[in-house]
Amino acid sequence: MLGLVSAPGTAVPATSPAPSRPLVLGSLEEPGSLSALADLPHHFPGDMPQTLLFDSLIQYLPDGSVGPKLARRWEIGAGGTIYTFHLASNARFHDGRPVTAENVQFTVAAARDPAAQSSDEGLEAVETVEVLNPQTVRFRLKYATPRFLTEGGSRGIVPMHLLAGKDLGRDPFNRQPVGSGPYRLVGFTPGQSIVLDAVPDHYRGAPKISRAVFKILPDQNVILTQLRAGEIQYALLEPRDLPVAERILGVRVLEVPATRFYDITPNFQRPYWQDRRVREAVLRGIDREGIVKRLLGGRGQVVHSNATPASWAYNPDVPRYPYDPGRAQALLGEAGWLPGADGVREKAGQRLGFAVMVKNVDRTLEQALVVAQQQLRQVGVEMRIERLETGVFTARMREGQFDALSRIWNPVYDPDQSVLYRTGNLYGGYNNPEVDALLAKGLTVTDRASRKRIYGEIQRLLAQDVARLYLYSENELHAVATDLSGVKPHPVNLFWNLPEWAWGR
Amino acid sequence: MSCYSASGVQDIRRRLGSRWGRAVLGALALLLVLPSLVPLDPYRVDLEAVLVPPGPAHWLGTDDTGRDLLARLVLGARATLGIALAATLLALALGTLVGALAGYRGALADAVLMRLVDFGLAFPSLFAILLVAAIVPPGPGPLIGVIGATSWMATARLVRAAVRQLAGAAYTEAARSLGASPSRVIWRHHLPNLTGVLAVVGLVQFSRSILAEATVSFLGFGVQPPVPTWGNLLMGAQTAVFTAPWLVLVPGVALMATLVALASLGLGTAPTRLPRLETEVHHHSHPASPQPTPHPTSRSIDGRPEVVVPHPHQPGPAAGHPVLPTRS
Amino acid sequence: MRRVVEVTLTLGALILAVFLVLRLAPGGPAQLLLGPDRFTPELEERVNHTLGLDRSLPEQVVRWVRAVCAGELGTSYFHRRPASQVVLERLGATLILGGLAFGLSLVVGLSVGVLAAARQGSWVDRLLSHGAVAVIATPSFWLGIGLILLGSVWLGILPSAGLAPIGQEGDLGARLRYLILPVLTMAASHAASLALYTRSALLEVLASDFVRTARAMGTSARRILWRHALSAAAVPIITMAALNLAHFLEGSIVVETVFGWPGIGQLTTASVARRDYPVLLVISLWAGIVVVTANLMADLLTRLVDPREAEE
Repeated sequence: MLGLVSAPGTAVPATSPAPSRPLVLGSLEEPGSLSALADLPHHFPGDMPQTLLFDSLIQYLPDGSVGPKLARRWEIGAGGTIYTFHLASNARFHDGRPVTAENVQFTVAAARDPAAQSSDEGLEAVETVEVLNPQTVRFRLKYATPRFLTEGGSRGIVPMHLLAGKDLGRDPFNRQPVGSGPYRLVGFTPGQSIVLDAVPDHYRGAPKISRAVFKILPDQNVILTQLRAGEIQYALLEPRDLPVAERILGVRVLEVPATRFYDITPNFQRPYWQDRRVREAVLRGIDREGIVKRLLGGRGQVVHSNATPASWAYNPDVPRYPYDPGRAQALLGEAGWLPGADGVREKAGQRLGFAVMVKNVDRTLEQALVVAQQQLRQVGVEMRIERLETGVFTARMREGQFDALSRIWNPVYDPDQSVLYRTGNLYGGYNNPEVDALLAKGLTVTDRASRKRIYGEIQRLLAQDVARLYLYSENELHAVATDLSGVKPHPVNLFWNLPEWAWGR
Repeated sequence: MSCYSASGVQDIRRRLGSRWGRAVLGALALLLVLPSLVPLDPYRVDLEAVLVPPGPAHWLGTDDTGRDLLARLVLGARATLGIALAATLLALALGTLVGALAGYRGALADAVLMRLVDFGLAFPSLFAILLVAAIVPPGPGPLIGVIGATSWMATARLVRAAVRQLAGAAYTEAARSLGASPSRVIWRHHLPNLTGVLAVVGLVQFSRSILAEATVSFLGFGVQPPVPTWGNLLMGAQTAVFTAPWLVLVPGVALMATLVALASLGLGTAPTRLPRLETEVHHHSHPASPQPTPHPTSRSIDGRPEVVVPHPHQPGPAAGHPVLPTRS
Repeated sequence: MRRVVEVTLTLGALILAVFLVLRLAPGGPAQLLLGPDRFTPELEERVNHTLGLDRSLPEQVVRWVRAVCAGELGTSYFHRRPASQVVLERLGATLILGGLAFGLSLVVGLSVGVLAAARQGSWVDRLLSHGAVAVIATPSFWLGIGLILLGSVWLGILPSAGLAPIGQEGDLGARLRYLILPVLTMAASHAASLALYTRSALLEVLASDFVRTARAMGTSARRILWRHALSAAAVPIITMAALNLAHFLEGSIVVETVFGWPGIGQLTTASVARRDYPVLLVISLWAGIVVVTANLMADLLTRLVDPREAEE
């Protein structure tokens, strides 16, 4: 229960750097398994241990471009369906064994193996993986997609010699992972802390901070207390913590615009949603600016389509629908929805009301919806809020059993959101052939400028159609100790360059 | 024509009839209808007035979306008390059914049903609530069902004991010998006596149901926001304690005040004496020992077993008979 | 023994309840493991097949029971480690909290009860008795929050959540501060009902003929109280306390939620949300064991202290 557990077979290098002060990061999330194969997409900051323990083929950079990691260089051929990666020859796992192409092949196979209960995110397009030589691996894709390089390339590579033939769902590797990242596991006390030590002879250079501790804390109050006491040097904040956090000496708040945003997704099967005027009216009936200003403390912005300013594909030039209850009422009237006895609009005996489902863990979103609920009532729309458990929410979403749902969307590595908007999608059923064509094109084109134009156009169309009721995007608020340098914002994961963080201003 | 000493019930009645008792019951009734009488809007969001401490504009302060706490407290009272009432009725109905069946039917039914009662007591009720919440989305209906389903046991025990006594009473024999059918006997003679027992147990159960609703809603498995109840007003309050203590104090004090007031009537979660017939049944079997072996009669929703204990107010040693339902 | 039947029934019901949830609850572990957006029906089928969730319910129950008899308690879906390991890791925290709270409630409850009985009718008695009633009337979660308000916010000397300060898990002294509020909260209502119960049990005995006779014969009031009343009342009190033990060891979801205490209670809530059935089943086993132990202890103590009370 207490005490540290050593990773097995860890070869301790002959020279270790002088131990510097450990970096302690506080988090509410508890990782279940530390294996890269168990890494559920983007549970930041819960996936910090995996990020540091496992290196991936490429490094996703803050500006959306891609840099080398395990793969020093690569070639793309045959119209984007063949990727050949050349691996760094001096990359090693924490137990000393070299990282070879075989490991890459194994990782991909394991990720797509149902027995590993792993998600094949980023790797869906992969058809075959060939080992050309120990340092070269070639991927053949079923179809060209830029997401393969960014998403698939960000998957952590696992050691074949430790996992081949093992039951991935229960192997001790989940507690004692061995990767090729800049840090290795030194201790894992489940539910409490994860201790990582720097790998001094790491092929990409030794991390400056020799020990990183990932601390699991019970609630936000404790996080703030620990920050104040200097016991942790990093934590993720919520808008409501700002007044307290900003007053803590020795801590600064780093505000990072995010690619993630919230919206209300209508179910286009419902007749009332099929009328564009109703969609626009409901959107205009919500004071999104007010929500951002008051609930988020101004730390965020209204979104008008499916991209935020943090995304390289962002197009600011899309139709906007600012808060305008008068216009909303006019539109509803035009659409034939007239106020009933209690103020709620009616048409042919039907009340204009819908239930929006939301997960019971999205507190700020809930608050925003409560505000929206009241504002919508004033224009005669009755919105009911249904808090659901995650499992129930997901099940209903999958089965299309909802009037509307509200949740976060995170186009993390790539602006493409085909899954959500393509005809036949399971997210409300929006369809527009023009958008379909553009979505398909966006995946086949490779240069950034062209893609930006395409996605810009998609954003414009989606906004014009009011395909979703886009709400807002929250900026990420990070509390960072002031004597920690080298911290650079990143749209996906603030810890992307943790090896470069150092003590001292 | 009842044949047992109803001193226990009379005691309750007396206390209820007293000025204090009437005041308490009156206050509760008022709380139930208050939302309809008072023009406060518990749902009105006001982003300009987020987390305002109590003051002239908002007597009890506001919450994180600017809703007035007083309004939400008042409406929450109706939800909490209403649900508690419904759950109590359900528990009484179930308990009476099981208890009566056990008492009237033969030894086999009795044994089976009493095992059911014991098992019901041993099953961790909060665990059950979690499991139910995973299957059925939480709300007032499932909440009433679950509370009722986890608290009928005390009623069952008492009804069974009462029934067995009544069934063996002299006047029952008399009525039967005169040709009255069993159901007629039940209807005309037993039920009126049972109402005394049920009234006492019901009022106790009401207290416990309030507690249960509060706890379950606090954990997030009861009535869902934005509909307020005293329990869910406190949801997540342990983190608000540092920044907005009034959000924590107000609903909590309201809960405590209600429960303590009910307890002062001798109807708290540790109820007072029950009709003496209970003791008599017991003393027949164990004349020498002063105490029966205890067995919890009930468990509160967070697992605290509650045993029937006399109210501290009782004067004199003679009145200090702890009334403990036996296992047999 | 009757108790065996009763306990087996409870255990069986707990297990069955978990399997029922498995079958009826929307959103299984597959959806939660794969994430809402990577999830397709085909993938779900594959994962369910791997986890063995696509078989019929009776078959799953049988397989599980067989596995348990062979010593295999299943693997947690979320943690990807043996479920027993996951439960054991959290068990320590629950046992420490429950054990200390139980002990405290015994000590406080008995003392208060004896004191109140000894001073029956006086202001001490009234104060203690009314205090106990008030404590029982307070929901434990609010008592906990109230204590946090008192100890962490106003007095600022006690921590509001967690097990121990960072990096000092081994330091018992530091951990003690973190235990104070949760233990108090958990012990409070049990102590109060134990106090009331003890008081009434003692008063009952004091009123009995036996004691009156003894008093008439001249033995000092004190000795009467201590020697006779306590031993006579001991049986039911001890038995009740032993039965209460079950609650302390099962893991209080309420107290653990309020204080962020990483024990079995929190594990239960999280596992239900994650649909981590293997862990839930192990927790049910533990709950069953606890109930057995508590009942056995109660029986044992009954027999020990007063053989006459031994029934059936």
